Amino acid sequence: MEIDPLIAVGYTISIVVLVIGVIYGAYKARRSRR
Amino acid sequence: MMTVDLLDASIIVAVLAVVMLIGLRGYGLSRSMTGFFLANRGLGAVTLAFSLMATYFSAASFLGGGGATYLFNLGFGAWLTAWHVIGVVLMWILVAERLFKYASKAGIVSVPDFIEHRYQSKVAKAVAAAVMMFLFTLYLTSVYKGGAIIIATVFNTGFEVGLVALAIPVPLYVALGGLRAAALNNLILGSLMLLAAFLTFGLVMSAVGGPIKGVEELRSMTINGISGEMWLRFDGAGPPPAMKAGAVPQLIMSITFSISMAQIALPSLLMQFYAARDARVISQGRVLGPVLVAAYAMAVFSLGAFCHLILDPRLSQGEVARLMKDTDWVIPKTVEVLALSGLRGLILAAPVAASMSTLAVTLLVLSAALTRDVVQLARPSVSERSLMVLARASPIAFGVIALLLTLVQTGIIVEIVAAAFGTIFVCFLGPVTIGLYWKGATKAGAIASMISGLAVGLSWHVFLYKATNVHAVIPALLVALPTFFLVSLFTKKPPREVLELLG
Repeated sequence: MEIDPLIAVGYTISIVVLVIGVIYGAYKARRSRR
Repeated sequence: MMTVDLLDASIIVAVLAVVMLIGLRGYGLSRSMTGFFLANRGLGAVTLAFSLMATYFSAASFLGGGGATYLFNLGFGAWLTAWHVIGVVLMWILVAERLFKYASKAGIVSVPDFIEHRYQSKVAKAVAAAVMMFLFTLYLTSVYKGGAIIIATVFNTGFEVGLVALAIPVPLYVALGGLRAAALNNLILGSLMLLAAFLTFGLVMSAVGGPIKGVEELRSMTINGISGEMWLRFDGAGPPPAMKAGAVPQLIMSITFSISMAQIALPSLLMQFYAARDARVISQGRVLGPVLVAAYAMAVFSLGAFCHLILDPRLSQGEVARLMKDTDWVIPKTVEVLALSGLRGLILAAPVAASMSTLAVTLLVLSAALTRDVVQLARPSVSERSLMVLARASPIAFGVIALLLTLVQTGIIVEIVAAAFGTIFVCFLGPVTIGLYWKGATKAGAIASMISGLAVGLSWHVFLYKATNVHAVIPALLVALPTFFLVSLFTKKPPREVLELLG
């Protein structure tokens, strides 16, 4: 399967940003509970 | 010609009836202005995250976002998803907590309220309210269109009949329920939308043999005289004029950016943060909020291209060409083909009911803008009782105006949403989002930014968008943001007690 790299980058960014966002969100939520 | 499937029709009617009943239940909770507009500031993290998702995603995203790659290459789906995830993460991380804290300390109810308080200016507030009333009414046409297409598909009737069937209950429900009802409903509707997204994704993917096989099949197809390979190239498939000009990538990037980034400055979303029970709700929502939006975007926004494999063998070349001109019909037609009776009703009930809810919250925002930000401003002596009457009656007026506009507009949903949301984003990014952080922002900067953003956005959309294939949001942003900073640098700052609220 070959897809234009510029399309693949879009999907990759979606996953990477989501993971970073969730980890950061969980970290902040934990800190606010303390 | 298909006949009406009674099971599907009954499911849709039942879901709409439940939504209406919850609206009626909300009546008792919404007798004061805070109750009506802010759900008595009592939303928890799960309700808030689902409420934001269901406000943002409705039939417009399900049909518009889902069907767009029937015309555009898969880059549209990839970047619409990417910008959505970036937007929702930024909204929860950068905007939510600051806005909630400011709103709690200042006791404000709406985004124009924030602008008035932050900049100590009634003029800035009135400009914000006017910008919102204009652009949200435009946005409503996309939601009406999406919901009406589904009703027309399920009940096998004309688009206009579908439109009226959707339009009648909405203002009634808003007038009775307020945000508490909308938020309760949004918890249910958000879950249903997510379920509909996953079911549709599952149906389409199992029909095409999974994404990898689907992509291979797409490559070997010829669609309306164009090689399926063009759906796998970022500079490939798109609207014919943009393809001819070699401008598909810039068109995709500017449209998807316009639609998605609006999340960080969209008043109908941001006002819901004010309704959070406490700051902990915002912290917890930071995890769930982005996950919900990302899951939905990943499931829905790339489906259209794969629908060629399902629909095209069943359609004439002329019908495929027509669908490529109005891609908003692609998803309901695909669901009609793939899903069994009952399941079809369940999938299509979610976006049509979510449309009702999105219409409800948006009409509430418009109603708040008119009653609190324009009428109360112009006539401060007006009684709370008269304001409540106006707050309950004005959604009907806005609903009717948007309905009439829907009948005359001809664009596809993603274009309408990009125009409305993109311009809202441009107008409010400086005054609201940056204004939450930058103490140097002034009322003159905010007003100049909103007016220049609206003027450049609209002029570009009318005169230069088609010629350049660059969406209006880019030039409007390039004018509005520097204007915001430059004018702010040279004008008088708000008093210190206001700036202290910014933390």
